[in-house]
Amino acid sequence: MSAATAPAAVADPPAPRIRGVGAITGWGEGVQALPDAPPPRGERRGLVTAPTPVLGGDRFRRATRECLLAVAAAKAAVADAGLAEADVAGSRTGILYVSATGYAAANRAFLEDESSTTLHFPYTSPSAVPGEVTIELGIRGPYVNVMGGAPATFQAIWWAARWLAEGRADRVLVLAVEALHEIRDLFDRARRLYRGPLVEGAACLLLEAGAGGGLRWASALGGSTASPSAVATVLGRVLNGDRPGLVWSGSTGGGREGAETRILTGRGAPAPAPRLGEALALGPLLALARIERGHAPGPWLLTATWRSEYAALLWAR
Amino acid sequence: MSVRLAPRVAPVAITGAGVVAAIGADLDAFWAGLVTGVSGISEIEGFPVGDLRVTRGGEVKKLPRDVPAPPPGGRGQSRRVTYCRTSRFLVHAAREALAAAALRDVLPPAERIAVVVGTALGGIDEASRALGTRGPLRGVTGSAYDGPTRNLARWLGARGPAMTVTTACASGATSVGLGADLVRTDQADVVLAGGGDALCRFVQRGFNVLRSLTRDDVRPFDRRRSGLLLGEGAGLVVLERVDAVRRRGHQPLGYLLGHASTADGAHITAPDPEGRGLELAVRTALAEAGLQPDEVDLVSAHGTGTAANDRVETEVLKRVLGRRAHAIPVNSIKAHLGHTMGAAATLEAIMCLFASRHGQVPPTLNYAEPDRDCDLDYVPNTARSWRPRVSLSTSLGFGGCNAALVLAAGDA
Repeated sequence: MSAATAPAAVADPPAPRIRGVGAITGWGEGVQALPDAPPPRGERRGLVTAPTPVLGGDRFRRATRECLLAVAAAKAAVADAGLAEADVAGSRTGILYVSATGYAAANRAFLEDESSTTLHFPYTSPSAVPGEVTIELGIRGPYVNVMGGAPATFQAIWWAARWLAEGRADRVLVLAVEALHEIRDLFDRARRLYRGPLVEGAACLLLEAGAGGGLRWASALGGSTASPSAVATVLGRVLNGDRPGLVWSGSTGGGREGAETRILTGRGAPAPAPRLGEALALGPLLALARIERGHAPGPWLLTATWRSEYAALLWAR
Repeated sequence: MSVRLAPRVAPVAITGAGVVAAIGADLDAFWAGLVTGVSGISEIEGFPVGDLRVTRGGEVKKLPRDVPAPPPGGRGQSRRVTYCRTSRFLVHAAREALAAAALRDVLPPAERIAVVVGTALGGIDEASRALGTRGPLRGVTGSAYDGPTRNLARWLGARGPAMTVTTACASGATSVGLGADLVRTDQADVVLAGGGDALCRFVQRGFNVLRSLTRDDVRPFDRRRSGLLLGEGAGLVVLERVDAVRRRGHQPLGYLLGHASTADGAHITAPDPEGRGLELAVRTALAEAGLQPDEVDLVSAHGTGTAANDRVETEVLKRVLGRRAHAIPVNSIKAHLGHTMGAAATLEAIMCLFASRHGQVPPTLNYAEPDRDCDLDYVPNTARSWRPRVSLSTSLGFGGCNAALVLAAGDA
């Protein structure tokens, strides 16, 4: 056991470096498989179903689809970073897992089948998903799971950047998984709350400390929905006088989108990058992976809503 | 604070606390039950258990059906928004925590208030009602993991960050640690942080099939220990910057000095046999606090009463604390409350702060036969007069989750 590190609190940490990306969606594996534009209008009510990865090893015979997606995405991110899996084992690698639905299929199966056995119950815990990743890769560093949509992913990225800046870890995996196929009927009942096809799958960014600009995160709850005042508060805080070079907006819905557009247009920000569908917590990671590979000018502004929450992340390069 | 500190991060003041548990739905009853050795374990009445192998747990029997009146700016239950059992635990605990922090009528602007809730189950009880029905949409949204967090924020009128943390049964420690980070980094002036979970058939059946539940009493660290019993409830603390609390002249209940949450990378349901992840969490939390292991005066152990957990925790404490491990009290309150899952670590942190305030350490109940592998001072069966200045609280959970909190007394 190495001596514990000596963390020191950092408020707005430096933006990390994206060293590796793993992405598995219904469009295929990797960032390059993502389409360049949203699907045609007629396809916007569908579900882009992700394939179930096939992983060798007896250990995975009990694992759920969301666990397999998580492990495959994490392994892909490590490989994409040019690292061996042994390089990320141990206490100097952290992991932050985020999901809005990554437990729901297992929970549903256990709820609806009273004959479920000891093989099923452990996988109803959301922590089973990153747990399988830590076991597969031997990760024993900082570890937190946050639940929610895209705003929760901003939280995870912000904490990852702080862990790196404070020296708690040398690298951090930020991992998101959404498994929607098994619970699609529930989302169909909430259809009016989101726009575009549902996108499921897994994405993982392998982050290391960056020497670039800062990372700012802000989040605010509205009333019953995210309010224009929440949008103004959040954008005022993260932009702090900066003009974004690229905008990705995961926001849906008229009022907040209108407020966001007004504020960003007033700041001379470019139009938002194409949004491929409703990918929940997966969305920001897929967007960042694309943006990073596209060498887009910074700073990058990502915004998103989840229920009544509006959140934004400014990533300065 | 007179404790010799060289903290790596600023201590955060814990200015109030609130609890709901099987032994009492307020701090006075909770503390009295802990020190007098009251067990909240009983036959479960809230849902059908007749077909299950184990039918007992730490069920909260008396909780008002109505949601308490919210503070100014907050919103209570309405026709459109119902509060699930976990949400009701949380808002009852929040009401008490705000009163204890003397904040109820002097809360900062809504956007400067944040909530961080740890939960092992989220809204799963709501999910069991929402599935297979064509009922109202709120049944679906309420069953999300962050449903109780949203309800707490709504009741409180909070407009700042709202986080839902799930590191399984370590969630209530991770949430307090992340809540303190929100204060330190000026994301919020006041953070309500903690955890809550409700007993339901889903989890009772799940632990039944795992054979983790005991038909005997819960006996943490005892040679005859044979498993855990589940419980339910909520624990919340109010976190603020130390200078802000001084300015308003409030005496904090205590301070959070350090926190770490780490991974085992070993097994989905069992702790790493060597406890490497837990050891790193404890060492990192102590480093963050700027304390040496010999400055710890009390350990609140996870102490589930399962064979593996209690052995691993004991080994880790001996490695980290050295000889000090045998000289200080190490207790577990899970025989009083049952394992309250997402609430457990926060309730245990509150216990540590009350031990400092009252100069008494609650006992580990049902302890009679020493185990060769568990050879520390577990405060068996009777409370002890002892006023810890610095406490360490350890937690573990499914998915290889570990967490540690280092806490100091309010007048330390």
